[in-house]
Amino acid sequence: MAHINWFKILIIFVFFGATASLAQSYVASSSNYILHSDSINFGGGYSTSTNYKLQDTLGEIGSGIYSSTTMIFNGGYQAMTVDTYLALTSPSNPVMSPTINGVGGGASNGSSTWNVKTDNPAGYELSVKAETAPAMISSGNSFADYTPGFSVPDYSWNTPTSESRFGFSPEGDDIVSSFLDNGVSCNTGVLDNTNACWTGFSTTNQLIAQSTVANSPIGASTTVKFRAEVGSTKAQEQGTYSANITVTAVSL
Amino acid sequence: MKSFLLKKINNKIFWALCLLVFPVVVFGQSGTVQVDISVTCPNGSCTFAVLGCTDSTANNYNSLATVDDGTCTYSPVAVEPVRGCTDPAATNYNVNATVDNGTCRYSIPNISNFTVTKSGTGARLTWSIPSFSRFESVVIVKSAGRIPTSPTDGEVVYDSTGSATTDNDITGGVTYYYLAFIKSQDGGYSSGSLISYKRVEELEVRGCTDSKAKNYNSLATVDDGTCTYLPGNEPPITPPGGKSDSYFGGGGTQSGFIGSGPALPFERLPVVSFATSSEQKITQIPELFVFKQLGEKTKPFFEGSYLKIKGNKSFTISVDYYKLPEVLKTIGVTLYDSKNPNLSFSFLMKLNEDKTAYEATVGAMPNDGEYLVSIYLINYQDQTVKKFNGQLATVGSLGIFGVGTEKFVKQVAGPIAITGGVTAGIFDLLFASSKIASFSDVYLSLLRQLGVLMGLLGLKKKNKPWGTVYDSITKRPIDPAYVTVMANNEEIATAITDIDGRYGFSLLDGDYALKANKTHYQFPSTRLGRIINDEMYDNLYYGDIFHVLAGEVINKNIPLDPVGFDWNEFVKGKGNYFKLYTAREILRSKIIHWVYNVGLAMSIFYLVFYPSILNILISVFYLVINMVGRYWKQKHKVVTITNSVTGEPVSFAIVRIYYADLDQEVKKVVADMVGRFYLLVRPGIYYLTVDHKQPDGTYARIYKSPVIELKKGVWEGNIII
Repeated sequence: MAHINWFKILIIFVFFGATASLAQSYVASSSNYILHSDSINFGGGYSTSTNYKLQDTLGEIGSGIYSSTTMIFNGGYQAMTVDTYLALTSPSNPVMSPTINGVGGGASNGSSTWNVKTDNPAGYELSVKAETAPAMISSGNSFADYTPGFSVPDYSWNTPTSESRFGFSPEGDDIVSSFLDNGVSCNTGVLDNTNACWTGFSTTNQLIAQSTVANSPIGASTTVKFRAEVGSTKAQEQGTYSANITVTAVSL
Repeated sequence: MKSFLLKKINNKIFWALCLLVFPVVVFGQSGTVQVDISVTCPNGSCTFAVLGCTDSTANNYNSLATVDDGTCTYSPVAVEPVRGCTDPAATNYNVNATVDNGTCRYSIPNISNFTVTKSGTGARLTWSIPSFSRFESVVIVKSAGRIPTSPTDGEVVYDSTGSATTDNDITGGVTYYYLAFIKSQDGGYSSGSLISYKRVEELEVRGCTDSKAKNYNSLATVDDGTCTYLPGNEPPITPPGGKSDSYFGGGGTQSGFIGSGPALPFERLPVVSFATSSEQKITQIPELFVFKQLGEKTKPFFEGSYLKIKGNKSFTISVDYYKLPEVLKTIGVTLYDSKNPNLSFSFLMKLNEDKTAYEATVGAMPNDGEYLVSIYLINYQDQTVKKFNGQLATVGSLGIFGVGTEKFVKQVAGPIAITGGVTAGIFDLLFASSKIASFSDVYLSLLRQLGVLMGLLGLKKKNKPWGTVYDSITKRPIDPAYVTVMANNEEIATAITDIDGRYGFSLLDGDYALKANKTHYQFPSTRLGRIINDEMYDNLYYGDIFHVLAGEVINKNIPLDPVGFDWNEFVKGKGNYFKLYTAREILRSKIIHWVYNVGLAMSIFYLVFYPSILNILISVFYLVINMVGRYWKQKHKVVTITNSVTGEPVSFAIVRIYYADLDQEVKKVVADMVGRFYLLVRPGIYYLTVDHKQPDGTYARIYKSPVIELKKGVWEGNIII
């Protein structure tokens, strides 16, 4: 049994206690790390063996979670942990209107809005992808995924008269630069004009929104506008066409 | 060991706390929405229409086409050409004709103003050539004793492009018939204008030269057409051309009837006084002759008829060929100006090319009027002439109104509008600046203007003004007022005040009294309390007898008290006065100017469409009124005094104008109710002052202008105080 030097413990307690009372809590980061939080405490530590890892603290002050409409307070070193909070709303399916005339053409529009809420100081990313390729399909028939004229999204929607297309345009607080515009072109400028910058879905995630700061508790909203159009000389088979679009938000 | 246990316990507590306090700890979330769209097709078919020619008979028939796009083409179908006249200018233009067959016919107008006068021993022929694009020449043929029938029937006396010729090959006492044609470049001829001439020799003995006549004169050398015959002895009528099948081919147009002199060729033919069987048959045919105008109702012409036709359109006289006996081949027409029967115009009716009717077309009449019409049927079988007389009235020659409307405008609306306009102009010119309050004022103003006119003409002596008749409250001169000089209770002289309220008399030595009369004013004034001077006038007169020495000039100013006008009431309610007065003035001005402008427009209308000396004089009168009005307004430029605070005019203020260098008052005037006045002085450097009439009736100076040079002697620019 190891001898406990209570005197040394006392000295350490007094020293850390005094220091803690002066330093208070802060968040720090560098190119190599992010210190999410700290706490006022004494004692505890980080122990490991081949079978387990143990983190413990003693004497934390004001620990626990407290929240209001404008803040969330996570008190205590252990309570904070290294994990972050991220919430993504689940909107209902969008309503697309009007019905498209299969002969003679026309466009149908709709939208869905997602809200991402995170306390991650590093922010979040929001991506979309379709379940199928092409995304908008019916039994044996489909709308082609929108293909921009260039590698960047098209500033204005365009459907050749002999084609039918389905695509989207994201709008919101944290739209990535590829969907921002200067009033003429996309992937340049800082504007987020409505009904601008269109592209098609793919079965792999396409990044549409990104933030490098926490936005909790208000969160950030991103609206994805959907559009399907049949060209004037395209004969599109009658029926109901569906596309399953998955939106994924991840913490950075 | 203890430390290890402590750590282990702490670890368990930590995870428990994590589960209890912070249960949602995530790194990422995702969600899926389903986007549904509906596509519908007409009739459930989403097959796209195939455009193309769907007519299997077409050259480019497309069996796959479901919708015809109108592009079908067909092999040309051999179409039979339609032959006819393809010239729209021709009278027989065929809109369906595709190939011109050279049958185009054109209306060739006749010459107009065809006259013949004596020229020495010959005959002077003059005419006017109408506008005709295919004109080539005028051809005149002559025949003695009979009417030529064609350009080749008779002696050609003229064939050129001029408008006069003299025929010197004239034998006295012989009647010559001249038939003038216009020759077209196509070789066609007009129907021909006819005139006759007979030279009467001074030494010739005129009378009946036919020995078969009852009144045969063996001494007569020239037949004067007065022969009368016993039944059975009538001479035969020589048909035109001396043959029955006369040349009268093609339609013709008589252009612009004005009158062609006294020669009346048909009147030289004997008219029977009894009806033959043929004539009885003819006269029993209803609507034998008809007058036709394009777009108008066809009107029958018969003995004694009175027709109204539109003067701005040509008209055609027509009689169906089948209605006439074969023997009737020549029909002549003479039109007389009803106001001057010496003006007449004769022409022949010709069988048209279709041989369906005899026709003659007369061009538009230049003036509205009435014409006597005589149609002669020459019956060669019976050797008689049947004559139909009637009247023709042309109206609506302008063609810009209907017949009834034009008549109304010309005979009713025009004279009323012009008279009203002239009256309004005169009223505006002479009376606008006067205070016309009654009909007696109008009468007085007219008398005054008459006096001015007589003065200008030197017919009346102009008396030097003695004094002024004025309003005792407003100090405004009264115009017009009637001033009477009384001596021994007898009226010995009268005068009408001028526009500035002035009057004057020339009196002999004696005792006199004055009396001034004006509607709505009372004489003598009692409001002023018989004071001698007021703010504007001195030597005030209240009806007393005074003595005048011969040649004496007495400046007696006569105040009159307005009846029904109270200065205090006016001051209290002057806002309403201004509104009412301004509204009345605007209304009066609008009415006068409207009437004047309508009359002016009507006078211009008359000048353009009915030029005459009277209408020229009326237009000149309007011009004079306009110029005098402009001169008057320039010399009597109205200046308005306005209160800058209230925006209301300063009523009845006394405006005095001074020589700037001498501070000498030159003239004073009183502004009217709405603050207006005008000043006319000699050109020079002046300043003016404004004395405002206070509510208690006194005056206070409220304005003195800067010194201004009046180059024209007229104060310009409103005064804002």
